[in-house]
Amino acid sequence: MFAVKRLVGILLPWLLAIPTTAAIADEIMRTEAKGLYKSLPDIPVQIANGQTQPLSSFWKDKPVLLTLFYRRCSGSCSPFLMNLKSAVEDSGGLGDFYQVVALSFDPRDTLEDLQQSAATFKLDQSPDWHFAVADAASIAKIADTIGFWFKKIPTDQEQFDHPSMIAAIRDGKIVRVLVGTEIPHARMRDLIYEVKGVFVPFLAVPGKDTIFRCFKIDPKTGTLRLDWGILILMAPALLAALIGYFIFRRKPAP
Amino acid sequence: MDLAKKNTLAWIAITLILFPILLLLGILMRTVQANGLSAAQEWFYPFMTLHGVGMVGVWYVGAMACAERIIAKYTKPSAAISTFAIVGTTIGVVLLLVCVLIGKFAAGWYFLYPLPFKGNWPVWAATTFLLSITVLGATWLIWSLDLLRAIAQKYSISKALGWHYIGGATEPDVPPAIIISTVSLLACVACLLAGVTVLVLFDAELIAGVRNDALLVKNLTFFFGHVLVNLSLYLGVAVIYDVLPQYCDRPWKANKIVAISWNSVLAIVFMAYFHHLYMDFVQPTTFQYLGQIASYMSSLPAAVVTIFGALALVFHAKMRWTLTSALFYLALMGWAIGGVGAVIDSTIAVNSKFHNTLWVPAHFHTYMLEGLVLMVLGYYYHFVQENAKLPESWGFHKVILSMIVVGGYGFLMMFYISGANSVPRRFATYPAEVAHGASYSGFAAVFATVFFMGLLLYAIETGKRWLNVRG
Repeated sequence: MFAVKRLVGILLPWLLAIPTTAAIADEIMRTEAKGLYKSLPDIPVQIANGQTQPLSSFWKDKPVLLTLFYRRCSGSCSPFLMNLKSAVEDSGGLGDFYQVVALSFDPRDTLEDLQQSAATFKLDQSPDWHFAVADAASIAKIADTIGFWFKKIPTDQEQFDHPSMIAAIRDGKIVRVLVGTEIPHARMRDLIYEVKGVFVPFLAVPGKDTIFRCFKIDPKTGTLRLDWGILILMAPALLAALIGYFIFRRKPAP
Repeated sequence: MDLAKKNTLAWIAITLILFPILLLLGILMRTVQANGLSAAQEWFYPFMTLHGVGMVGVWYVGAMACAERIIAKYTKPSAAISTFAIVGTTIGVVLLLVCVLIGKFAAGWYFLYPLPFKGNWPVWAATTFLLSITVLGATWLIWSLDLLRAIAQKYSISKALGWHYIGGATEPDVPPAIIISTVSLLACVACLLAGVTVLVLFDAELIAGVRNDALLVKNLTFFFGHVLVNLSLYLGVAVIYDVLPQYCDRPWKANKIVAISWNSVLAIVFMAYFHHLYMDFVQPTTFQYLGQIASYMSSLPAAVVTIFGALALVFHAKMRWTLTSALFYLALMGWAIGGVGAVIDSTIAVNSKFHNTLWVPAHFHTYMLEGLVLMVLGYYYHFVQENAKLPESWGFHKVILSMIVVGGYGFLMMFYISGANSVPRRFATYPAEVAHGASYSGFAAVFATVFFMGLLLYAIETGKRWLNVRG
């Protein structure tokens, strides 16, 4: 009876397919993959100095890291933009290989709001950070293309529910998307490599709960080191040799 | 009639029921790719899975059934284990049909991790699929071990692998079929153990939530799948070594070269599958180079030695051309052509361009459809005709052979042309950039139908004799 209960206990969550951390990670990966290699719509945007220009004018100059935010956000926008600023400073290459466009998705945001946002993060003097607004229809097109979504919170009409997202744009195409308020160093490095045109492998890295893997990877240097999984790879051939030995060990009948 | 013979008849029946069904699924897929049967589009990937697993499985058991009969000429495999193999395979096939036809499981024939957990099919479908593979793998492992046991009853390992030939001796006489079967069955045990390891890793993730390393699972999966397909062919070749001489009235004996070439296969066949991972950037470069070298080394010596051996055997011989001998001859031709396609594909510089195109299904369909399939069909006909001894019509057999060759190679040619023209594989329908793929698919479906008609005629010829033998 105990064994049956134990078996049910093991099998039930799996049969019901309860969402796990892994499932959430997969959902993020799906979002990041959704818009890959799509062409970005060339919408008109107004930048903080009041000038209106097509979005393509940025990527024609150099690749773009595009992010969406809004000034009145009391949630993730500010910490996210701060994280992005730090990640850009840590990784280097701003202005040489890429620029950043922070586009407001709130139609209420004005040029003054943009200027204040730039000043808040001490980016108002940076020639490679651009804060911009666009009309609602254009924003909807951009959001749809990169897989960004936003909706008003029913209890607070000032605030939006939305993810934090960066889209790396090269030659008008989305080459990489990063979802999440935190911006790990390794992922930011990948993003920058990708906008520079360097091929960057894109796969789920085995989690910490992975017992056997072929290699360990140092995320900072990308160096590979052999791990225990290699032995598992060799085991079938070695075991077959052993079984062969035991089968043929006895002398055949004359 | 003894049980062993009954079992062979059962394998013939199973093959001749399943193969046409799986072939029709293939024709259906090519028709969908040709923008026909749009209602069947949603079934493309479940059918691709069933077609792939089914074909690999059917021709593996077909080759094993033939090899078992050949081995039984020299020693005594267990008829009970053979019956067990039939029962286990049937259960595995039923489970497979359930998960695909009811659960719409569609992760492809090699169920690449983590796809079984990620698709739009219920968890039970993935579980049933894994259970099906477990049942099949366990059954086949026991079957292989029994055949090895039977060989070991009469031959020591050095004799069974022909090492005395390599050492310069010419006695005792060991049939080449025994050497090739021993090599193949040892490889079979290793690849089935790799399959077991993959299934344990999948189960660990399903039940205990332990996450797997995609690179490790992919390596093990291809160790299992690629070697299984390779050795199915080798078992078919073993059968040809044993049976073709009967139609040439000449012996085909083992010698130093035969022994060296087949032992070299055993030494390196396990590394050839690395060519499936050229696209895997995290696989170390050394493994990639090993993959190319091993692919050349594992296929060329055995194929070249066998094909030259067969040509020498047939040349100026008093050939008795029948459905069997002609199918064997054509099978070696298909093996050679498909093998060249495979070696080209295993060349890194080529593979980096062709890997995701229809060139890949082109080469493996060549050595399966015009290689292994013809080897097994040739032996099946030989077996029933030997026992039934009904009158034969060479003219009618030439019609069957013509349909199999024209239909088969026409079908394959469409794959090769598509691959050379960048048509991607595993696309149910083609986007505008590769819309020409649809036309090739349409022609392929027509040619495959010709092959199918030829197969039906073959089934009638073999079926008549089967019924006669069955009584």
